[in-house]
Amino acid sequence: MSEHELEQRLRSVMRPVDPGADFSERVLARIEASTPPVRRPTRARWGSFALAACVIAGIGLMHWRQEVQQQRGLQASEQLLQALNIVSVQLSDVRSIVSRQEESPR
Amino acid sequence: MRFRPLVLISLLLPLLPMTAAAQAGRLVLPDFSALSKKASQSVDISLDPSLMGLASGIFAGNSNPNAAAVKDLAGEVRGVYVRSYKFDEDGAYSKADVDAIRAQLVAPAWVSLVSTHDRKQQSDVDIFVNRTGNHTEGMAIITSKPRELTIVNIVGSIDLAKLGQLQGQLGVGLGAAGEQPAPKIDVPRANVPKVD
Repeated sequence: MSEHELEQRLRSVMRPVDPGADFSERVLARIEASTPPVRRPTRARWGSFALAACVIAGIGLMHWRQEVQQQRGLQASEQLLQALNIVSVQLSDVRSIVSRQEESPR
Repeated sequence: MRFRPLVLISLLLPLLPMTAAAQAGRLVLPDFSALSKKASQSVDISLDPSLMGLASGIFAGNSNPNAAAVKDLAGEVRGVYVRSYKFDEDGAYSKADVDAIRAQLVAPAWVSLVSTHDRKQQSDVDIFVNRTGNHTEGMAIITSKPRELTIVNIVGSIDLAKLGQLQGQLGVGLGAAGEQPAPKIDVPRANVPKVD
């Protein structure tokens, strides 16, 4: 096949074709048909969102409460040791006073 | 409409013995904020039953044998209240400050267990117990020195002999109020509010 013949064939195959007056309408119609419809959140979906948020908030609150209780417990245990310390000092004061009084000549 | 207060009172009356029992052994500690301002060192500890429960929980979860001993010691303690003040000069507090406490320590509820007076050091230590039958409901210890006032109220029962045995093993009994050494029980440091 000569170069000229090839060119002739291509010209005949790719000749301009009139798409018709309703071409743009048809294109728009096909686009619309192929686009998935926009899903609007339903009430049930909102409910599940709210439930999930509540569960997450609940877990967070429980964790926070445990943390606070733990902190309070640690503070209390330190204060208890300090209090026992003070009582012990007072008792040793009593002991030393009593022993001094027993040792002192009457 | 007129009988409503009567109904309310008759409903609340049975609760009175319960509240009285809850208060047995507990002293009403006055507001010592004025003393606290004057003091060079002060300790203010108020451990109510719920905080005692939390503290016991911490000691229960500690593998140190001394922690178990503390838990055992505090097992029957329902509350610990401490007010301790140290001053830089003599006479910073008045006798009236102590009298407000002493006025509550009267028979038959409270009995003086030990009363010591050291004339040389001008130091007084008084120990009172509140007993119902054979059960100790509370204890009060008042230490007054020229530059120190310490009041301890333990609600419930504590074994002083056991506390004596623990002396030195917990960092207990090694320092004066406000100057305690670090506890020998490994308690993780909490964000303890500053004690003056």
